[in-house]
Amino acid sequence: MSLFTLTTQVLRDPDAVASSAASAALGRLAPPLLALAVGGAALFGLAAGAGSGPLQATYAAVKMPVLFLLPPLVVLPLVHAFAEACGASVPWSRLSVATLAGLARSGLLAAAAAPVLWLPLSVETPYHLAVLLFVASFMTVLLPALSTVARAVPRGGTLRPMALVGTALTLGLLIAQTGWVLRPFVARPTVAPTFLRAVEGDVFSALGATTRSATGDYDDAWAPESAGVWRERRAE
Amino acid sequence: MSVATLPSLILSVEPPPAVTPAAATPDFHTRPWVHARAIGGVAALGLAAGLAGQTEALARAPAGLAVGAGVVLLATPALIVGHQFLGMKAAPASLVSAVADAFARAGIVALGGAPAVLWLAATSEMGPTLGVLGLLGIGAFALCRVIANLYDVERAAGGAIEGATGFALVWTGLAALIGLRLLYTFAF
Repeated sequence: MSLFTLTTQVLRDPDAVASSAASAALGRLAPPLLALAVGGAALFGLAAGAGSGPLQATYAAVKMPVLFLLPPLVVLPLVHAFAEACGASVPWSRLSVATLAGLARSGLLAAAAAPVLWLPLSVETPYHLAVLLFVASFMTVLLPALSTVARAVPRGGTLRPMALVGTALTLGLLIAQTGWVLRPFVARPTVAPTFLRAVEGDVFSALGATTRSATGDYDDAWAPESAGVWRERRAE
Repeated sequence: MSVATLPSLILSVEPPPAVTPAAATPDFHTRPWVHARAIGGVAALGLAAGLAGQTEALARAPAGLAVGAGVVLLATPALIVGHQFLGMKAAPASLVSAVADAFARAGIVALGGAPAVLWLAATSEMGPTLGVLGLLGIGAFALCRVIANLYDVERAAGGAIEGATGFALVWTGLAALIGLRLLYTFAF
């Protein structure tokens, strides 16, 4: 089957792809699905960094597939464990194919959304607004992948809503922190392009600052005073 | 072109496997390796949370095991005695099985969550905080599962469901308070 045919099927009916539970199917489907996910994510990264020049666009294109793939793969053991604990076990092979199919679908959507993201970023949108636009676009294109994985787990069992909330919270935290570690995707206009910035604090220490800056409050600058969820972040 | 006419690289399309309907007798985990995996899972969660490069946090790694064992040891006698005292029908052995099964399932979830906690602890200073939050979440899952299991064993024994549910809720509240107290001791 050609990549084009697979692309069509991933877009039209990802659940059918996700139902290919055999190990042989996993081996055959994994490379093209991975290629679709990585390629789409790279294009999305290219668009995110394009507003800051070709070098930053290249950096963002290299890092974006990692941000796309790492959090869902790290949370996969939790999905499997919750399914088992709730009494609705799902084979690893089915879960893996469903994850790859979902990510491929999201990768294709990301590729299609890349020009939409590029458009506002190319017209000197304020930095913090650009970051928020990027985050919103990223979460929007990733949602179909998550719903594909959720549908791969059989219905029924006990305490499923609790498992769903726990998994969603963990995944959200993973995506946020991974994005924070791999930043910048959208570079600050006054800073030279960099592949990775030094790890300082965590995502929560910066969320408050970027939200304030997006609303025009530049007091206390961008850099967090210190790290940690329960620690002091702003100098008095 | 419709999906149905596409060449089938997508192979055999199977529906998701159906969940086995609940049997009259609850199907609890009884195999030792399942319990060992659960204990390992709670330990792994604590260890992952402690890997933030802080020796102090590493010392807290077994906190989850201590809390879990403490809750089982301190709260289960009240469950068995209270259950028999109130004249409910399930056998004491099945009550112990219900509690053990719930904690085993929670341990499996802890094992599944350990990679995520490890990644977050390795890339930030959130490890100790996440360790505590993870244990709280796992504990909540275990106690909710205990309620469901106690309901099932009482129903299987032909007892009154209303009384069993109320008793399970009260006992779960006691176990949660004991767990929080132990968590405060071991994790702070």
